[in-house]
Amino acid sequence: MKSWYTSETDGGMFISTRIRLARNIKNKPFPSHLDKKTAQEIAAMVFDIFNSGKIKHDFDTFYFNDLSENEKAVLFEKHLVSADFLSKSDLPRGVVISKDETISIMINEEDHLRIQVIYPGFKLKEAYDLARKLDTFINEKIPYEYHEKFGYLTHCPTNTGSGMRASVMLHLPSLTYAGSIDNILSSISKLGFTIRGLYGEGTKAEGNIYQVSNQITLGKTDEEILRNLSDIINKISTSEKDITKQLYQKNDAMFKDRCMRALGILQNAYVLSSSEFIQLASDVRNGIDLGIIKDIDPGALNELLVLTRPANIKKIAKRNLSADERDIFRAQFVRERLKQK
Amino acid sequence: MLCEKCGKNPANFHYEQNINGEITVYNLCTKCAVESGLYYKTDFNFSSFFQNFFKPDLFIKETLNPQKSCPFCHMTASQFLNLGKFGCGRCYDTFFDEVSSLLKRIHGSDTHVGAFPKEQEKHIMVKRKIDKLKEELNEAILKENYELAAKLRDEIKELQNNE
Repeated sequence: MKSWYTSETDGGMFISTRIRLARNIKNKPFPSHLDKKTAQEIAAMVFDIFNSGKIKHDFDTFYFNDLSENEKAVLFEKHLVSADFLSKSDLPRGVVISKDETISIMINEEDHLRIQVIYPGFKLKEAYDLARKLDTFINEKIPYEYHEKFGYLTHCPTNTGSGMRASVMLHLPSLTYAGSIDNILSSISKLGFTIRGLYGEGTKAEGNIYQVSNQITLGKTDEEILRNLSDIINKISTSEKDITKQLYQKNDAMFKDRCMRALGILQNAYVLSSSEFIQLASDVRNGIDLGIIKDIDPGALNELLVLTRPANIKKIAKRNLSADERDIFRAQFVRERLKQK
Repeated sequence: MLCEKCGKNPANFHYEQNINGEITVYNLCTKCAVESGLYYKTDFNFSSFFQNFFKPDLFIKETLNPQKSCPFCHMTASQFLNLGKFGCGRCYDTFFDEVSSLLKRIHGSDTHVGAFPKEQEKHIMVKRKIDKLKEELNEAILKENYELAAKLRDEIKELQNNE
């Protein structure tokens, strides 16, 4: 499987699907109460699993604190580690990442293990099956904290039970335009789900990209949660398509103009901030989905979503850039990627 | 644009007054807006309001002895109440009653029905079956269907003996 941000993805409304399982090791205090030595032992134990046998060629294992600040931020921008993982910690914290960047395991974040699978597009079942496979594979070697009544035990009670957070990232420009996101939030929160912006909290979303995920982890089976999430995503995507169609039919010239102008700026700008890019990319994505823009590879937008972020830009440039230089470099990079075929 | 009153800070407060069609526009900074009485600054902050929402202390403080502590990670009841998070797996049993009510408030349930570690599969399947039969048994008794109740009771006994 390819990572969610490669140019070989389909583009379109569904950007990525993520499953995260929170697990703790039996008879060890959670990271908040852990000493350095035990934390180190836990990381080493998990590294051993992924450094032996055939699978060692498929994974990289390393200590997070050995990375530079920029390398850490690169992983965060790729959604391979969480924002919390970036904050300072005295504990040795480990990361296991598959070579294709679809699997990542954070060691000693809030819980001992955060097993994560991210796939491009809308693939809840596939991502869940792989996450559970990894979960069982690790559990064959390491016993977990599991309670007969409460299920998998976690540091925060909001994860207790299944320890699962399933989320789908999707692009919703028309629902945003129609002001419907808050309505979606209030109706899905009754079912134990939530919608939030890509990097931001609340419903403020950069580039009209949102994440829909489950809040409840107790009293429902994983399958029920996934089925409900899947139904919600299907409903949201149907209404997004309906509204887009209505808007397009109402004023197709305005619509085309907006998409083509956005593409024109991205293909010609010499200075481009990260937030300007993400906003214009939303219009271009819309244009591709509607067949208005034809000669752009739709996957390129998913790729640029990550590669235009500050830490990734710095990594590509291979040198330190001031904020102004970064905007110039970003513009050049985007111009090249979105060249007319 | 700078504040029309002090001329120092950026004007981030825009106010339009319409009195009998006579419109006056004010462009002020927050400080001057507060001083002019046009804007009331409150300390109420939604995000911090909800931050404490899932802390258990709001509801169960009275019932829990603050001296009680977890024998494994030594988290005390007052720490648990303050943080709303656990120090280790044993905390869940140490503060069992409080945990139950906390989980019910968050998830609407305090009982896990989902995935489990493979090595416990057999045990958990039997336990879940027994729980389900017990529910049916209670229902049967309520409906005074004693014949069914007796049958369910025997089934439960047999499963429990085999465990």
